[in-house]
Amino acid sequence: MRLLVVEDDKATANYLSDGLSEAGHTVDLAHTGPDALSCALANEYDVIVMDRMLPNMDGLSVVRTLRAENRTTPVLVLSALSQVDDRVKGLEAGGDDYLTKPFAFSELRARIEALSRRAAPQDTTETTLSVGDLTLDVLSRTAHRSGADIELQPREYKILEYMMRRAGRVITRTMLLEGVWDYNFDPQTNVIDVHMSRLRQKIDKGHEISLLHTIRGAGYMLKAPE
Amino acid sequence: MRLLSPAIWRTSAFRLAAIYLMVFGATVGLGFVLVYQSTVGVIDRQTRQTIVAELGRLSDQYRAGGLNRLVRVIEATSRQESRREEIYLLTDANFEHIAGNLTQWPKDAPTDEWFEFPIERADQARRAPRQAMGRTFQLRGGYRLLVGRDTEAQMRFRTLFLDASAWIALATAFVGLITGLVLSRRVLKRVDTVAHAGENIASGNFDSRLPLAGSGDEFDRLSTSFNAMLDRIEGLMSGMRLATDSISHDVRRPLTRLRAKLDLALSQSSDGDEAQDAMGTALEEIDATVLILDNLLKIARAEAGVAGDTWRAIDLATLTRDAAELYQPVAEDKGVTLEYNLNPAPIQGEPQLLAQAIANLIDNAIKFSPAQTGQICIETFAKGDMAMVQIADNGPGIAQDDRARATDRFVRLDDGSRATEGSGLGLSLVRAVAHMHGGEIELGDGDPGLRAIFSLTATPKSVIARHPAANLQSAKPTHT
Repeated sequence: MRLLVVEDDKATANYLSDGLSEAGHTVDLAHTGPDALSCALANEYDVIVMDRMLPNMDGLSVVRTLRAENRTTPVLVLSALSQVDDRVKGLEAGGDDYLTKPFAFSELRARIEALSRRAAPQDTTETTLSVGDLTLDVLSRTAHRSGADIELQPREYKILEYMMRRAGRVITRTMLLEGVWDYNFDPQTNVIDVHMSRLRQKIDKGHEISLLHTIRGAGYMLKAPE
Repeated sequence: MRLLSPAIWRTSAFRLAAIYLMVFGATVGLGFVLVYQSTVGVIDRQTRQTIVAELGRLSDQYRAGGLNRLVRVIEATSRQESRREEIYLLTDANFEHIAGNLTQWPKDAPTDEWFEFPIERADQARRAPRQAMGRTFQLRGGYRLLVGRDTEAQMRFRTLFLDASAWIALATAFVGLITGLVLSRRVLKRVDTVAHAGENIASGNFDSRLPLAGSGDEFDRLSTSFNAMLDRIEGLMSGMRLATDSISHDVRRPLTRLRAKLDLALSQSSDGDEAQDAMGTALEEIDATVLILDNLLKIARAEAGVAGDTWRAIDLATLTRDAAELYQPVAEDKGVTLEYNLNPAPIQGEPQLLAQAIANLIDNAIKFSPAQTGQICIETFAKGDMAMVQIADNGPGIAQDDRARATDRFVRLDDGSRATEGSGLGLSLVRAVAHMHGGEIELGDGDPGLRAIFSLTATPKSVIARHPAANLQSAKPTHT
């Protein structure tokens, strides 16, 4: 993927650039708002990672200008401001996701990947989702694997639907909390892990091939072997 | 009509007006008494003096010339047109008329004392009896002499005077009362304006100010000094906001670098490297530090907090169900049963902070419930204008003396009964969120265990102040 990373702190920018390049992305760096704007307007990026506080021009103003220019490039806003209203302002300005500093690198990667697929047309009208021999009927809210019913609690259903719509991608714990519970805070206890191990019991137990994988240091992934 | 609202009687302006009215009334009353004394009183006294003089003259005549001379004098005097107001009567011992312009001796007339009596005079037929005042005198030989004055005119004057005084007193009282009420209302109105503006500001609208009438009166002076105080508070608050923002920003910057560097190093290290564990632990510590920082900022903001753009209408029952669903598997793993009794508890509030507060309470309850036998009862309900969440566990509880302290920042009750994990900020955040929503967190005895009651004002004043229609249904969502 081609990424634009806008970050005024040179050290952080370099770490980001190194890490993302290592993950196989092509990274352009910009350190100021005007630079970021001219880069973003001149090139097509898959995702823009935008620091919120920039010299000369606020990161959110850059996003607003881009949106006013009808650029729909997904923007991940990075910010040192963590309060509820800061987040809302970031998303209102046209940001697609909001990540508070400091962040785990795996979190950033997972979110960048989640965003990039958003840019691609996605069929959200699909009523049956499937990963391997696991199928989910969105209308009847039921799941089957190899023809057998899987009984799901309402919340388990929501987690599974969220995972299946993002099959093959790393889903972090905070992404699940945001996507399934609408929570933007850390509940501190390993609640998500317990949910996931229950879900794994239900969909993988008794099957030779596991579909729900734990990605060490990052999160989870629902994936059928190729 | 608010003119006679009970509040008006309690105003100091009305009390001042009432005191003024009383002093004024007493002064006017004293004036009336003095005027009365120097008019009616003086005339009265003069009349009496004249009568006494006349009695003296007549008794002198009697002593000098006997009865005949007295009769002549009386008749001569009675006939004079200029002395028509004077009354004379001379009778014998049996009260039979001998001379004088009065036909009959008045009934029950006392001797040698002043008295008042109605008269019908011998010289002219009067339609109505007139009022008179006189004095009797007993002469030697059993004869009785009465000398008096027709006081009808005096009486009329006195009646007129008293009537007029009564009317003036009434009018004064009325005008005074009305003036007092009008003044009080005006003052009350000014005070109300200031009080309402003050309430509005106290509920969180620190950018609004007390209105000035521009007259420079005492209310303006008061408002001006209040406004100066508010400027100061606003300055301090924005200073605090700036400080927390910059602390947040300035601490996060190096932490971000540190974390990124560690992250990168960890990903580049080879498996089995001894440093890997250390780096992993360091990362966890950084995350824990950031979490404390975040929660401290949240607490600071919430304690100073007011309704913001992210507030909307929500049901505590829904928030509680969501949070409980998040913790259900953890509870089950520990063998703790969650019981629900979720009734609608609508509220205007900040969904993220409320959710975190409720999650903290449930998290705490599960942590302190005994494994396998733990039981947690989670209830939501509306009570009056409050929306409540009540969470009762059957854990060891908190000693009564420690309960108030438990919600203080960084307090960990390390007496073994409820030894805690985490930073000790959980309950402080809950309390800050409660305060932000015009509510409170109460820790009580769950018999056994702890009963946490999280009560919130359904529509906090700060919401009304900010959104007069209090309709936040259309407020922006916090998350997409």
